[in-house]
Formats: sequence, structure tokens, C-alpha cells
Amino acid sequence: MRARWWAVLPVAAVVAVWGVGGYLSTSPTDRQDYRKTAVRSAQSAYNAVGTARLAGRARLDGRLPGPYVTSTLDDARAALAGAAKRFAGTAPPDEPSAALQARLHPLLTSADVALGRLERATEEGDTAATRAAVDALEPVAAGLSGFVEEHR
Amino acid sequence: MKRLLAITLGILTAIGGFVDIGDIVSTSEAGSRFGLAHAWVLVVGVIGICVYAEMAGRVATVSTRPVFDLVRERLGPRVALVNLLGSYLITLMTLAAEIGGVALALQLLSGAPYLLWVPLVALVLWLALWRAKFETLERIFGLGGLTLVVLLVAVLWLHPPVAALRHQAFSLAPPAGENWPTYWFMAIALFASAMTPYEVFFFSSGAVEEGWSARDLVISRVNVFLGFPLGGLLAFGFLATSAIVFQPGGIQVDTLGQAVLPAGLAFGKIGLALLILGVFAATFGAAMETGLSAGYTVAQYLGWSWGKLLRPRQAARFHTVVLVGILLAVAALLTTIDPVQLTEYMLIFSAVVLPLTYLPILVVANDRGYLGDRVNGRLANAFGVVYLIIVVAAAVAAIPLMVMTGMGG
Repeated sequence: MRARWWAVLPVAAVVAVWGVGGYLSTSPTDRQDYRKTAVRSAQSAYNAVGTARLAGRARLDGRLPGPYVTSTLDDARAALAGAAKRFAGTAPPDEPSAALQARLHPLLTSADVALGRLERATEEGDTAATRAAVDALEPVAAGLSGFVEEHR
Repeated sequence: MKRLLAITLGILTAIGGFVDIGDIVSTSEAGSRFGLAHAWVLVVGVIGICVYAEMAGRVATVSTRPVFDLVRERLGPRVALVNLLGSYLITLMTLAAEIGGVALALQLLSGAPYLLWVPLVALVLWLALWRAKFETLERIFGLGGLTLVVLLVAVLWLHPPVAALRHQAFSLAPPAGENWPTYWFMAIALFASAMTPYEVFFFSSGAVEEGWSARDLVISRVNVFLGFPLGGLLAFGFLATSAIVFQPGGIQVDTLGQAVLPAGLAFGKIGLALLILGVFAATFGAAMETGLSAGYTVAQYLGWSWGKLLRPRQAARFHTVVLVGILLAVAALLTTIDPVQLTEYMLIFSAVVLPLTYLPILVVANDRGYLGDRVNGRLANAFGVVYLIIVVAAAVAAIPLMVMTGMGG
């Protein structure tokens, strides 16, 4: 009898986890879910842009070595790409959600463009271009931060 | 004089060896989002690992038998098997996370992608565990980990907003924009990062292998009660610098590169290089310990000969388990799973299985059949039971909080 319990418990646990996981992964997205996805994506993009600004400024001051900056900007772009992919993979369920999408999409695009510019400038060792790229990140960061604050 | 030097070296090694990828990731994330609001969790975690490691060290030293051997004998093979499976899987996840941490540190130093470093790190790790004199390596990496102290100096250098930090540390609540479930999710991750089972397996197995006697209990306690809290202070460096640099700007830390940035901002290239060196040493040291711990748990349960002091030929099955563990860890990393994300999962599942490893040690530490008059005293039992409650509460809450918060998102 005890041996049977030992066998039944893990099987029941696996079935329960499978069921809950299946339900969560297939349940339709509602407005609340969409808003959460949008805020998470905007926050990830903001983290990437904010870190790139800090690293870019410190690079201009000669405080950070090249390989570290390259690696940090790579990470930032990867995080931004992941956030954009997550956001693009969720369809807006209604009109207000579509409006949210219309606001965030351009912000993510400009973040990608600005990060790409900074990455190129640091790779080429072009100080003026690096400075310009760091400055260009500021309005993007403000836009993303404003989005997160407003919709959190 | 020689004994004093050995004790000092032991403490320094324990300090440097305390921090691993779990501490680095969880403290940096928590600091960037919650400031110093989780500082108390770090204190609770450090006291917890002291209680846990002291008991395990005493059990191993007095009984002169490895912990898993005793657990199997005391609780029976079936319960001990559940215990073994939980511990082994978490140790494997930790091993993969540590190897990933070493590779990420090398990426930050070289600019080359971390995935290129993973097989090389694994090869060096295996060779080190197979061929090299372990004590020397342990000392080198433990002492190398001490360069993490640069972050503690950076805390002072970065002009900390003392009043704001003090307020965060004593408010015991999430700041504006964060919620309670995420606060507790982070707290559990931080707690689990301090109370990692592999540290205890490693510590107690080392005591058996090096033939510690009751006379060595004092040294064991000094290592635990001085080394671990001072190691916890190094982990606090990550919490505090993230709280100073990232939290005011609302930037969340989720990469190793971000976690080390404050050292660069404070001290430039040299500060950054020292910190990355410290991260490399801490994670490589932890990878050695987890690799061995994977072998210890399996070999001790099955009654095989085991140990880092035995030649591979004398403990072939033990060394095979270690090698298989390293290969599985590399395979996991080569799926391109993010090592930081892997670490986050490892911490949560570590919290879930912690009672499986903590409770048996508490039971054996109270068994006069094994420990004679060295069983837990009133104080040790008071702490032991309080921590049992905390450990069980964290284990029960970990998965629901993970689902509710979407992994702390």
C-alpha cells in the first residue's frame, strides 16, 4: 500500500504541473495580460538603454575597457531583441491594447536604432559619434520610462 | 604559528569561497529593484548557512562518516533516495550555472562570446579536479575571490545616499512601483543563494576526508562563524552598489556585465578588472566545489569509495560521476540557455529542495547514537528549529511565487 502511494504521488504531481502549464500556455491573452507584457517589454528595453548610457558615458571618460563595453552592449541589444520579440509575439486583444501597441512599438524601434548606433561608434572608436549616440539614448530612455510609469 | 596561519588561510578561503554566481545574480537583481530592502534577508541567510554548516561539520567530524551515508542509514534508503535525487539535480543545475558564470566573466574580459569559453572552462575544471592538488587550488581561488572586496570600497567611493539607503534597509517593504509577491520572490532567491546545499556537502565531506577529529571542531566553527559572515559582506557589496548605481534610475540588473559595472564607474579599468577577476575566482572555485559535491552525494549514498584525495583509479566511479556531471552541465549550457536565467531557476528550485537536505542533518545532529554528547545543545536546536520553519516556508512559497510573479518579472 505504501509503495503504491510512492508511485502515485509523483505521477499526480507531474499531471498537475502539466495541466496547469498547459492551461496557462494556451489560455487567450486578455487586456490585462497584454498590458503586463507591454510593460515588461518596455522595462527590459529601458534596462538595456539605461545600462548602455552608463557604459557609453564611462567609455567616453576612458573608465571602461573596450572588450567589456562590447560585451555589455551586445547583452543590451540581445535583451532588447528579446523584449521586442516577446511583445511582437502577443496579438493585441482589443482596441485599447492596439493603442498601447501603437505607442510602444516605435519606442522599441528607436531604442534598437540608438543602441546599434552606439555599438558601431564604440567599435570604430569614434569619440564624437559615441558621444552623439549616448546623447541620443536619453530621449529614448525617457520615453520608455514614461511608458512604464504610465501603464504599470 | 603554523596552526594560526592555517586557521587564517581557512577563514580567508571561506570568505572568498562564500560568494558564487547565485549570490552575485540575486543580490545585484535585488539591489537594483529594491535597494537595501532585502539586506535583512542576507543576514538571515548567512546565519542560516552558519547553523546548517556547523551542524553538518560537527556530524561529519564526530561520527567520521560522510553526511549522505548517515542520512541513508538514519532515514532509510527510500527517503534518502528522494533526498539524493533532489540534491543531485540542484547541484547539477548549480554546476552549470557556475560554469556559465566563469564563461561570462571571461567574456567580459575578452569580448569573445561566453559559449566559446564554456567547453574550455569545463575541460580545465575537469583537469583541475582530476589531476591538480585540490587544497592549493581551493586556496588560490578562495583568496582570488577576496578581490571582490573592491565592491565594498566602491560602496563608499560612489557617494552613497546614506539617508535613503538607511531608510530602505529599515523599511522592510517594497519601494513604489514594486509589489509584495515580487518582494518575497526576491527574498526567497536571496535566502536560497546563501543556504546552498552544495557548500554543506563540500564542507562536511572535506572534514571526513581530511580526517578531522573532535579537536578540529574549534577550527571548523571559526571557519564557519567568521568566514561565512565575512563572505556575506562581500555579497552585500553587490546588493549595495546595485542599490546605489541602478535603483535610483529604475534600471533592473539582469546580466553579469551590469552587476560588475559599479566597480568600473568607481575605479575605472583597474577596479573593473579586479572585480571580474574576483567573479572568475569565486565562480570557478564554486564550480570545483559543486563538481565534487555531485560526486560526493552519489558516491556516499551508494557506498562507493570517494574523495578528492584519492587517485582516480582508487575512486573510479566517484570520478566518473564528477565527469558526467560536468558533461551534463556543459550540455545544458550549450542549449544556449542564459546562465543568469539558469541561476535564477536554480535558486528557486534550491529553495524547494532545501528541507530535504536540511531536515536529515538536523535529525542526525540530535542523535546520540552518532554524536554522543556532541548532539545539538539548546541554542543550536532553537536556531535549528527556527530555520527549519523558515526553510519549509520558503520551500512551500517558492513555486507559487515564481508562477504569480512570472519569475520575478
